[in-house]
Order: sequence, then structure tokens, then C-alpha cells
Amino acid sequence: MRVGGLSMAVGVAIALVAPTVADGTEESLAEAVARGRTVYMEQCASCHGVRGDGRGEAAAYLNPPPRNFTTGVYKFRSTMSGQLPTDDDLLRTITIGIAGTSMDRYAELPERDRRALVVYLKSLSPRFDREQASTPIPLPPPRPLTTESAVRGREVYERMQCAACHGDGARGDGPLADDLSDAGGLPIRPADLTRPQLKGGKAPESVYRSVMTGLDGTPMPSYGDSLMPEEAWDLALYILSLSLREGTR
Amino acid sequence: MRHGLGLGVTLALIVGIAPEALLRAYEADPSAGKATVRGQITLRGQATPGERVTVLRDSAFCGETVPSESLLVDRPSRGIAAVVVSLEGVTVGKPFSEERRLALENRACRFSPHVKAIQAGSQLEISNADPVLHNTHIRKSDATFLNVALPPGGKTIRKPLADPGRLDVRCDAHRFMQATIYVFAHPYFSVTDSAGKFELTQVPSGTYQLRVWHETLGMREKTVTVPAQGQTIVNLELDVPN
Repeated sequence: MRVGGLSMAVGVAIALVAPTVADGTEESLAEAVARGRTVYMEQCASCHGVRGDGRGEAAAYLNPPPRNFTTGVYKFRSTMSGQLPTDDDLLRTITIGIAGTSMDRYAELPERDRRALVVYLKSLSPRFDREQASTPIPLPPPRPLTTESAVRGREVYERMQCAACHGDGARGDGPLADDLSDAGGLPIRPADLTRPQLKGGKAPESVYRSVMTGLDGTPMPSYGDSLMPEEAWDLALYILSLSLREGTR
Repeated sequence: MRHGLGLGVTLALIVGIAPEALLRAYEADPSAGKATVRGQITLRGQATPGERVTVLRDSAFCGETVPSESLLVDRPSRGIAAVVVSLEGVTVGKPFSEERRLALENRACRFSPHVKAIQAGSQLEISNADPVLHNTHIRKSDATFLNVALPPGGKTIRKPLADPGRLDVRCDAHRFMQATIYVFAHPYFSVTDSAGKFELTQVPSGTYQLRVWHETLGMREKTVTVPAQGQTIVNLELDVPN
């Protein structure tokens, strides 16, 4: 009886999480996991490892190291610090890649395959079964990028002491820059925010999200409890203005 | 479909069900439990002198060194402070305490309190009294629980402590800063005082595991049989790790 109840519960879970694929046909969770696994072994395992633990054959040569999917900890999320990413967050990173790292963009993979990959990645960490699904933080419309917004953003940058890690000129060379480590204890450097590409993507909302939610597994904390949305937008626009300025040199 | 469902069930059984979910939830009964378990946790051998940790960042404010809090030993009795003591296995017992708020302050480049145990469902309130940037970076097992920036003069940040477990609290900006929050799903827990002493009251009769955790000495368990009434004394000696 008990097992029957469990089967039913899992059946409901499948109905809830099974992705609707592009051609409109429903795919069961098991089918999506299986296909995601096939795509993973072809495209991802050489770096991220056959078990998803980030220990693929190429991993030793890569800096930053490939993500370990078994912990369920992800940098680029639309969710609050410590929460699991949404499916769209994982899909976005697979699609656009991570600039300045070995993580390529996989926009050419059919969306059906990318979504199946998301389902497979989630199956690699027990956290996705154990913890509640997360909801994204609110994303109010951005302010326009003007000189005033960038000036206000610079004021936020100073008040929030971003320079402690990222440096006064935002080149990733602040006083703490040499003394930081990631969740695995490996040295990690703050981002050089003047580069034309940021790891989370160059879209203004990506910068906004990284500021508000932090990058889990790294020292970059979330400012969602410290900043009003308009302050965070000003800060995001200031950061984007740095690479624009850099590009026109 | 049948095959898919079977695989789903298997997956759920392998990865989906946390061990704590299989344990019976704690039930409060004000009339349950009349015994007391008390004792002292001591360090075997010589007590090591308190060390100081060199401060590499913000030393103009934090000071050149700060006292190490990683092993606090009472000289005469060798009692160890800040040991988390809990009695595991009580399923029906005393009601939870009224304490449902844990203020964690960043002050003088230290976390205060350094070690704290509290019941699940409490609220964590993190604040920064210092004129320097701190961040409170909390990990649970190998996952991020929370990483929040605490700019000087910023507001108090509130987060729920919903689930039981041990939370490791750090500041990436000041790596010598460390604290522990232990969250319990039952009310039979205590943190030893400066003499290494603890007391657990209103314990129902039964055989339980007395679990002891210290940040540098690790975890120990001892089976304890508690009678219906009176005091049960449990003293434990811990060894300095090699």
C-alpha cells in the first residue's frame, strides 16, 4: 500500500516535471533523463566527467575547473543565494556558455536536447528531489543607461564596497583579490568587470541577477537584501558602462 | 510508461529520500520526560594554550591578531567550551523552547555567538556592527546555504532556518572569522559553558545516543540509558586530534 502511494506520488512528479518538447509531444521524465544522458556523454562528459562530478579527462587542464553537478551548486541563477537554479537558468548557461572559460555555447544544439540536458543535470544531484523548486527573484524593467545612471551606479559600487574585491577600477584587483577561494578551496579571482564579456552574460539582466543573487560556490555574495532594485540596476548599468568605455579605446 | 514509472520510483528511492525524512517527526507532550542528563566534556591530556590568529585584511580596524576560538579549554577542570551536545532518538518529549531567533553579529571582526544551537523553524538575523565590508557565507555539507554581503551600516538580514543540520559560517573577506550554527528538529540540545558543562532537562526514560560535536575535535557518540526520574551524569573525555 505504502509502495503504491509512493508510485502515485512519483507519477504525479513525472507529470509535473516532464518537459514539453518543441514539437508539442510530451516526454516522460525517464525518457528525458535517458536522452539527456546520451547528449551529456557526447557533449559534456569529457570535461564534467561521466559521473557529473567535474572530473572529466580534460578537467585537469581547465581553469576555472568544470562544474561538479553532484552538489547542485550553480553560480548563475535567478534565485536567491543558496537556492537551486531554475530550469531556465540551466538552459541559459548551456545556451550562451560562460565567456572567458572553456564552457562553450551550445545554442546550435536543438532546444529539445538542451532541455533534456537540463533534466539530466538535475538528476545528478539529490538536492533537486529533496528541496523545493525555487522561484526567480523579481526582475523589474531596467532603467535606461544614461550618464546619470552610471554615476549613481558608481556611487552604489563604492557604498557596497565592491572595490574590496573587484578593485577601485573594477579590474578584479582589489585588496582581497589574492586571498579568495572557491567552495572547493581552490584560489579564485574576482571578475575583471572592464572586460567586454562577463561570465554570466552581457545582458543587463544577467549583471543585475549576479549582483542580487550572488554566485554560489564563490565568495561573491548576494546583495538582494542590501540593495533596492533601482540601485541594483544603476550598479549593473555602471558595470556594463565599464566594458563599453573599454571597447571604445 | 510502466517502465518509465518504475525507473522514476527507483530514482526516487536511490537519490530522492533524505534519511531524516524516514525518521519519525518529533512530537511534543508536556507531561513526557522527568529525568535530567548532565555532565562535563573535558580534554584528555594537557590543555593547549589559546593561540592568536594573524589578521591579514583590515588590520587597521580588526587588529594585527585576534584570539583563536577554535578550542577553548578551562584550565583547572580541562572542560571544553562551545561543544554541541544533543540527545538523539527522543520521539515524544518536552515542548520546544520559546527561543526562535538567532542574532548573528559581525563585531570586531568576529562572529558572535561563535557556536550556537537552535531549533528548526527559527529565524537567523545577521548584522554587521563594523565599519568594514563583511560577508556571511554559510555552507551546509558541500552546498551553499547562504552568502550575503554585509556592507557597513547595512540593514539586518533575516533568513529562516527551516531544516536540521550543521551550518558552517565564514567570511570570505576575513578568513579567520568562523562560526557554527547547529539546527535541531527536537529540543534536546545544549552548548557547553566555559567549564565544559551541559544539562538536558525533561528527558523521558529510554536509551538514546548522546551526540557530541566540537569544531576541531569532531563528533563522538555514546549510548545513554535514562531512567524515568533523577539525574544521569555523562562525562566524556575528548582527545586532541593527531
